[in-house]
Amino acid sequence: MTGMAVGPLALGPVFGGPGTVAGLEAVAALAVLGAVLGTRIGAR
Amino acid sequence: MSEPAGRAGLPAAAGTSGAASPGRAEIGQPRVWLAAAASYAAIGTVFQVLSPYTAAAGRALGVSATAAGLGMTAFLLPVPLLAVPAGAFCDRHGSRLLTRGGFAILLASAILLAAVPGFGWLLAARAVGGVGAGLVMVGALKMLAARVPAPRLGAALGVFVAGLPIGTVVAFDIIAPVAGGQAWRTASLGAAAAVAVAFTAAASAGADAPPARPARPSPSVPAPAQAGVPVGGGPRVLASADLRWLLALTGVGYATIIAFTTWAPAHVARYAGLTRQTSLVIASVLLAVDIPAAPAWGRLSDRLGRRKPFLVLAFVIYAAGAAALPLVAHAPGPRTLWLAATVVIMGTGCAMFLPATPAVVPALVPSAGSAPATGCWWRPR
Repeated sequence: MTGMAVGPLALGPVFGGPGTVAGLEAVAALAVLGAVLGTRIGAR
Repeated sequence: MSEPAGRAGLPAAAGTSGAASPGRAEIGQPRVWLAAAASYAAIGTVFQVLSPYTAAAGRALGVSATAAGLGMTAFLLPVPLLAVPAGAFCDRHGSRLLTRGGFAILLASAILLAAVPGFGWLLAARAVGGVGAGLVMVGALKMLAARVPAPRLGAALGVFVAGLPIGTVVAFDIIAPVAGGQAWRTASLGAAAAVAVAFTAAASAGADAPPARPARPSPSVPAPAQAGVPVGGGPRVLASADLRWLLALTGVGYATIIAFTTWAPAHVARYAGLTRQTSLVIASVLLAVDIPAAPAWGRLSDRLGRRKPFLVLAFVIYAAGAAALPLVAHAPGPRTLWLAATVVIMGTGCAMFLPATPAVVPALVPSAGSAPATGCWWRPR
């Protein structure tokens, strides 16, 4: 649950409104990072 | 329905020590699911109600839309700070008081948001809402952990996490159109009404979690009956490397999902030449798909006894969708349809991720069965 809150917390200002530049490319990059992290989980 | 213990590498009963088990059989699973989903729906509604209105609220309060977007951050800030102490409180006293107090705070925050005189007050109202959200969330997770055996947690958590998209749909597709394009204060009152409805539903289900141990050691209870009591917690949750990876994974996952739902309402309209309301609908589709899909993926995960493939595949699908969206947005033909279809696929990935992250914890931390649902989803003994 901590992770649920911390992730958006860190990125909230970046994605918070019009005029920000991160956009979809950042979303895609985060998703790739998540896939890599997922492979590190030590469970089936 | 009985599944063998240890299937999927999961303990047979996550979330309860023997002392906490009484009462599980007394309450049907649908009531447990209703209470959990209603709780998360209330959180989702209050959290997302500001998202379509960052520009309007910013104008009204004399700040930029990006600054007003900090209201989303302010809402989330108290949640990690409260998670572990709230979980410990829940272990000691059960979930009833925590959940009800959380609902009251969540309701008050939505009413306060409707009346804020300035930007500082807006941030304060959102932070108060985050306090309520944290309490309700921990209470709901504790309740699920206490009343659902681990091999069936995937489906149960799928129902629980479906509450967030329900809240998003309520905020984006019901409250925002009814309130109108600039009426963020009215929308906030709508969110307050939604919280009241969700509380009524959750409370009527009567699916609270009992305390995991007596508040004080009782001489009338033999010592062995108090064995297995969760002790400690706090930063010790991160002693597990796997939990640290899961913490990072969950952070990245929710950042990715909420980044898109926060970005899309404001940007898709300009990006693909759509109306604001169409953009809201498309943004909400990402999570609306989860309402049926998250429980279904969770159930499949339970049957296969696998969690990890769902985690990885979820991100792969999400990355592919985000990468494809710019191409789809400018493709010839019915762009709205293509965009919606792409977002539906992304939502399917999202639906894999949401129940799998908490459901994987019992496999990572075998001792989690005695100390459920605190800071990192579960707290090892």
